[in-house]
Amino acid sequence: MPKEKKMPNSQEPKYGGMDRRTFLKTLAAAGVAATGAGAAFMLPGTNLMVMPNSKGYLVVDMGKCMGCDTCMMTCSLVHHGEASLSLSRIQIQQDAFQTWPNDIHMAVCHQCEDAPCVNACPVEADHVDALFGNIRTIDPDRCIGCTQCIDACPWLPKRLQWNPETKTVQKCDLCANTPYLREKGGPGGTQSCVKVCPVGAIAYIDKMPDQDDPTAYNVNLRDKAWKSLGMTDEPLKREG
Amino acid sequence: MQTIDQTEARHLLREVPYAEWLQIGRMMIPKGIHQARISSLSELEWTIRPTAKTLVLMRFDNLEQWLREAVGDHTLAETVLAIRSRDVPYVEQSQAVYDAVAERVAALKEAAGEEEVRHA
Amino acid sequence: MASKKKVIHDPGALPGYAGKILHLKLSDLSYEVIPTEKYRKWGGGNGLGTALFWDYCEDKTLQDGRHEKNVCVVASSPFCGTSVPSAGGRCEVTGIGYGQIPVSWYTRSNFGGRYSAMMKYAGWDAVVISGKAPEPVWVEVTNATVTYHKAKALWGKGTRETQLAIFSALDRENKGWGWEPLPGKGVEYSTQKPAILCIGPAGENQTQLGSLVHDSGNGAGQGGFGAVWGFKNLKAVSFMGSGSIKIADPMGLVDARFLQKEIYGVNMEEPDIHQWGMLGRVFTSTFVGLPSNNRRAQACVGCVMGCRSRYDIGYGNEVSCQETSWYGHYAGKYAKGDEIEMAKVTMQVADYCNDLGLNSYPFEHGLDWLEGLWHKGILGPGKQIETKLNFNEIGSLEFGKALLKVVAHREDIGKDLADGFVQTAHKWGRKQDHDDGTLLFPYWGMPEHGYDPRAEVEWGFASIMTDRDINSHEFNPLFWKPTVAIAFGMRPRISAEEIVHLIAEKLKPYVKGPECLDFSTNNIYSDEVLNMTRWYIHYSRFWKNSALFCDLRWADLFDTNAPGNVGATGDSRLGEQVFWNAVTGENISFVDGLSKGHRIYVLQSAIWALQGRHRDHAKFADYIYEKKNEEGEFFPFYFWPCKNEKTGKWAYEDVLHRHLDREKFEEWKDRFYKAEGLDPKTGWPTQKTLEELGLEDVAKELDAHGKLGKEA
Repeated sequence: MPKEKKMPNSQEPKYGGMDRRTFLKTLAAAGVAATGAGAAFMLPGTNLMVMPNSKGYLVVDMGKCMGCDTCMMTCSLVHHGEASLSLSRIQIQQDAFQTWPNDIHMAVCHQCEDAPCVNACPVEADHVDALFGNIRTIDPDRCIGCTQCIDACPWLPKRLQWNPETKTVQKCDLCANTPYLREKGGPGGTQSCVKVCPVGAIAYIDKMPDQDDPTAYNVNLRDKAWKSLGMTDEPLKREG
Repeated sequence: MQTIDQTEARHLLREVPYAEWLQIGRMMIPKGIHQARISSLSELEWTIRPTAKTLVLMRFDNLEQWLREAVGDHTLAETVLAIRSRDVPYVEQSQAVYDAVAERVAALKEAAGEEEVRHA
Repeated sequence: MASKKKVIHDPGALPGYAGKILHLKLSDLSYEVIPTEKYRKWGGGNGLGTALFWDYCEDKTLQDGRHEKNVCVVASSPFCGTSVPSAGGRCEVTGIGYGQIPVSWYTRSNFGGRYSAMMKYAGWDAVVISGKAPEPVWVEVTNATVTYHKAKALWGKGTRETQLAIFSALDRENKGWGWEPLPGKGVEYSTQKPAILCIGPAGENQTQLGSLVHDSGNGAGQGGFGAVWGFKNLKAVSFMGSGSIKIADPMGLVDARFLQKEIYGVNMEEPDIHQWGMLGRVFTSTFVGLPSNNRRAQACVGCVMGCRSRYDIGYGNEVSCQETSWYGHYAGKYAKGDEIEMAKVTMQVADYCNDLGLNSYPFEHGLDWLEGLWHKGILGPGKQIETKLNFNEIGSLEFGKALLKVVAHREDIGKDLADGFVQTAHKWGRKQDHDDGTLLFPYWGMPEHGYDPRAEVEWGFASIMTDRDINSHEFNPLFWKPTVAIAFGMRPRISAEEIVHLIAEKLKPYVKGPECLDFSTNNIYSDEVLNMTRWYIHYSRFWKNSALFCDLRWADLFDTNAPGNVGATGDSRLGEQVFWNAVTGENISFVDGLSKGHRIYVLQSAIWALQGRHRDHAKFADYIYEKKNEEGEFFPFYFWPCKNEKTGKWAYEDVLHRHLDREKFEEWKDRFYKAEGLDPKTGWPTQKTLEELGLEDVAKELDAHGKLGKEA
């Protein structure tokens, strides 16, 4: 069963001997920041994009998920009007023969602070959308289907999906662009997977999880009520 | 409490012959009623021990008869009879029966020297 | 950023359906594609399977499903792979079974999980299995690509090992994306594992208890379909799909699912464990304590609250319900009341049962019978019935596994038990045990479910008028909800008066009023109870077995989660028909669905007629008519709504202490057959009925065999 694993990027350029993230943090400390309001911008004299943080994130509880796939089917329904697992922007993987909690893996887009997929896009289709809370999202009209964004995603399974119908790439947009969702989506609006999950195994938060901790998006959403149903509310010890 | 003779205790704790095993029902929602047979007082005790998983429902008249005729424990049979006549909900009676059975089995085991007594 | 292009919704030509049915022709290891369009009017699942059986089975007179000409269909519905609540993951199996008496009827079974969903994503609505492979095979279906593989290396393996081996065989090279590339329109991808349905040794050895197993604990147990596959040399069928299911009204479906959660969903902040109803129920259905609470509730695709679990203990995944009850008491006795040990043994035995591909239901009463024979000195080493099984060790892990193994492998007494418990009783000269209820198998050689037909009459009536233990829990909460409440001295949450009115509303126009639920002895053969039974059969045939709403969640005839305790069934916003229409784009009413159920039942009656069925076969074991369920009775009461004849008042009354009346039941059958459009003298469909249902070709075939019913 896949673990929440970050792939090392051996081709990452160095800035003054520092990797990208450390360099960006240095900039932030020096007041050259793009947190909060404001669009992404290229740091003058470099090819370094500085992105404002997303205003919303999905976190999951891999000990709580029932594996019903309703989040996945609803995701594809609200975005595409079809029920599909392969077109879902949240992926739940299961192995019925594994032991809890390693029998299920929930893969959500991290809305990364310094999103490699955004950096990788040669045509700015994958971009930071200031109109929708700085979500990292893909403009379907600009995407040329080169899949460099998928290659760049550091997580397994990749958090972007290839759409074989449109021959473009898509990703989680926190339901910002959901023609089949009656309510308003995006940060501040509805996230369909959160709303539909029967047990509350997915949550929406506005505080960015620790980007240095690969398990930071896997949180404990189980409580006393869950425990009263005969299941543990203790934090997980997972393989990843 | 009345002193129980070791021989008598062992006799009362024995497994009775198959033809005399007590039938009870365990309700398991939504599967239905599952039948179980009880061969001894010890088995009765843990079978009717209240749990969250199943509801053991038995006929107290059958139980009383079994205690008298199969097991030979008239003391416990009288206790069950007294509980039967209480005007309380079934489950309260059931809990009281369980408490009485548990206490009796513990006392018998102590008197018997805590040996498992099996009837061939 | 949203696309600037206008969104034009394309529901496809057959919304909800994949559009294709796969016909595996095992005899020459070929396949053909059948367009679904022709069968759309049958819905899905059971209806679809029965219509396909009618068209593709060349000999419907077969009386044993282990035959090349038997056709087994594994079918999804428009709901599979969608977010319709507790309907996205069930899968129906139909065909002539094995192991019932006096004849193995055309029958059905059902299982959950994710198989039917994956079948749909691969682009298929059903798989039709005909013929017999020349050697053991398994079939890989990956999107549109169908491949036969030799299964010699898998034959003999348990269902777990089989599936793990197929997972491994289908693990492809990928780009390092963690997504498997699959054949498709361009290249398509999936993060999922294949969904596999397979048999274990029990099916390979063609035992009546042979089942079909998917993942760790989803099983199609009744009907002996494991034996059918075993005969056909079919080890497994694997589906892997990356496609989509077109939906007629996706926004409507999403809205309805959100609303279902809002009104009927379990309140996860304050779960109401005393809830009355089906859809909003909180439960985990295992009947032993657990060695660990480190687990999750595990659900079939689209379910509102999972009824199974996966644990950290290394066994017991997806084991639930009856699998955890049949051996529990024995294990407890052997463990001298140690509940942890009892749970460990029970769960491991259940796991082993699934691995063997064995249906554990017959052991529910069957093991009690065997133990009785042991104690009576009839069964044992050197006894009249020889066995090496040591019943002194009954309740141990070793004994439990040994018993299952001999049945799965047709060894020892398993040689006989493999053909059925009732059949074994007859073979061993113990017919009387079946007749007098020592062996509690009241209908068609199948074990009593746990709801005595003498008390809960609709269950028994519907089982006898169909082909097996009906196993449909629509009305069942009317028994256990008040019975538990009364046992605990609690006031029933819904009074008898209110509950019968709530339900009767849902049963119209079949019934006139709440008298249809009055199970007083003077009313059980009434027209109203008859019509309630007809509703029951039609509902389960279409909405449950064909549309594939899960039996543990639907019908929702009353529900304390909702205002006025009104259940979701037939509701204008959340009823079954709302979801059907949102997915398929049709415009049927709830009652239209019941009519489809009737049509399916009549077609099945035609098949049974060809198999040699006559109304005289539709009878219970003798003890149902001759013994009141108070002799040897072990259960103190069985509460059900009853109307006092004199006062007209409704109350929950005890409906034990009676048997059925053979003559009255036979007369009831006359009326039932007439109401269904069947000849009361034979039970066969009439020309008029078949014509009214658009089944003229069925009438022709019945006539050719001299099996057409006469008009009353």
